[in-house]
Amino acid sequence: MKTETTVCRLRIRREECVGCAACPAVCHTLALNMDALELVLDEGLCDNCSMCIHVCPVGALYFG
Amino acid sequence: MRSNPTEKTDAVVVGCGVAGGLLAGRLARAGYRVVALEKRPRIGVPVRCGEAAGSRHELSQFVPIDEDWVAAEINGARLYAPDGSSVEKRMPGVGLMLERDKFDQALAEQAKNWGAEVRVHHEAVGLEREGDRVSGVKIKDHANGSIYSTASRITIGADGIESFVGRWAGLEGHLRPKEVHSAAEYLLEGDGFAADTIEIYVGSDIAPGGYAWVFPKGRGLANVGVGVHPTMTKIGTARAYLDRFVNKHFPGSERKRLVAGGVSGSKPLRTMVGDGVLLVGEAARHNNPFSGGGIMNALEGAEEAHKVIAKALAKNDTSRDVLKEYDAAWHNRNGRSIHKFALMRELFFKLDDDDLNRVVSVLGCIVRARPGQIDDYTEIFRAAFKTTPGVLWKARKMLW
Repeated sequence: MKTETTVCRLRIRREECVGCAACPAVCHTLALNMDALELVLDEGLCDNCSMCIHVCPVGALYFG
Repeated sequence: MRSNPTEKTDAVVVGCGVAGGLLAGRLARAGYRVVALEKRPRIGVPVRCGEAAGSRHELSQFVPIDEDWVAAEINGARLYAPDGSSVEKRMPGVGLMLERDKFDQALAEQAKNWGAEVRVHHEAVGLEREGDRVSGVKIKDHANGSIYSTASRITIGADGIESFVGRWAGLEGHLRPKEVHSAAEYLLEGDGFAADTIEIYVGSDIAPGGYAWVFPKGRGLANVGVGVHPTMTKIGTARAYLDRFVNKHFPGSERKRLVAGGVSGSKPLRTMVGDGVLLVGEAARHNNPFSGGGIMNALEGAEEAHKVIAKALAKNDTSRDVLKEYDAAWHNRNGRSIHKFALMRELFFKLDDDDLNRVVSVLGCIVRARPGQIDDYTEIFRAAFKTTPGVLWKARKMLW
């Protein structure tokens, strides 16, 4: 039997992100990392605490 | 699991910004083999800074002044209260506005001239260890995606607010909600910028838990930004507050560049060193937690780090026991005043708009009563906090 679960996932608006790295700085699980100026998200490590969404100066992160 | 390092060096400096650039150069000048890594393709680009720094004299202690990276002089400051009243202090020669990209590049060139190897588009992706000791760095070459290792007698984390070196080494954790500000800034072109005076605006509608700044760069340009405390915002992001501020104060101006970032408001780290590893600059939370300013502290921190590292390399002992002298040296040089600024920041969060109006009014009286140079700004603010009715009570736990 297939079950479908809707999970609240952290998402990145790539067109807004400026690569400032404020979000990895506040991420307590190291789910957020930088690859040079590109933000990289490891969803397996994210616990949806939302600190990154709060600290992002340009609103590039959201739950969806 | 240990990989075989493909090269050996005395020092790897992770991050070639202000602290990393100066430190790499000074260590190379002392005769050590230094590799400085910069994950971005170009040093200093993109700029992530308000670009206001100290005086010519202060900067010249670290790098020869080059008008190429001097945007403008700062000869005074004006502070605006929520109700629009303000206090101004003229301070001739107090600071310079920089072109941070060119400034960082000048530090990197200085480092190269002294013999450091600067690798752009190379990024630290992990630490090598021998037991507990940090013995080197795993590095990604972004040009081709390959990973290689460099053994180093000391690894320096100069990698900014998100410092992965600091986190991998267990010297610091993530920034807590209380400890961080969120900031956005435009480079504006337009009219109405005071020629050589930096302006600061406070108020819950303008910058909750922080301030807005107008830093003129000359030729019709200014860095205009807002820093907010993320837990206190009502209308949205730092950028939302910035847009509101710019639309109100500089409606005809053109937005030429967007800069955004987090700013650490943390107290100094308990320790900045481990076996084979040391942190400097924003990675070590050297910046001023009250103003957010970090350029001068990064330079001074790099200078202190260099002294201790040179001694450790000369003794061939880069253990914690030898490096920890750096913690005390930093504390004596700047740590105490950073601690005071951290307390002032906590007090600032408690001040509502009425309090701020009164503090600015009292500051005005104090500034008029002291026409000369002000050496220690914390004393001025302390005097204001103690004499502003209602604020002394809020500050009762925080007066030093």
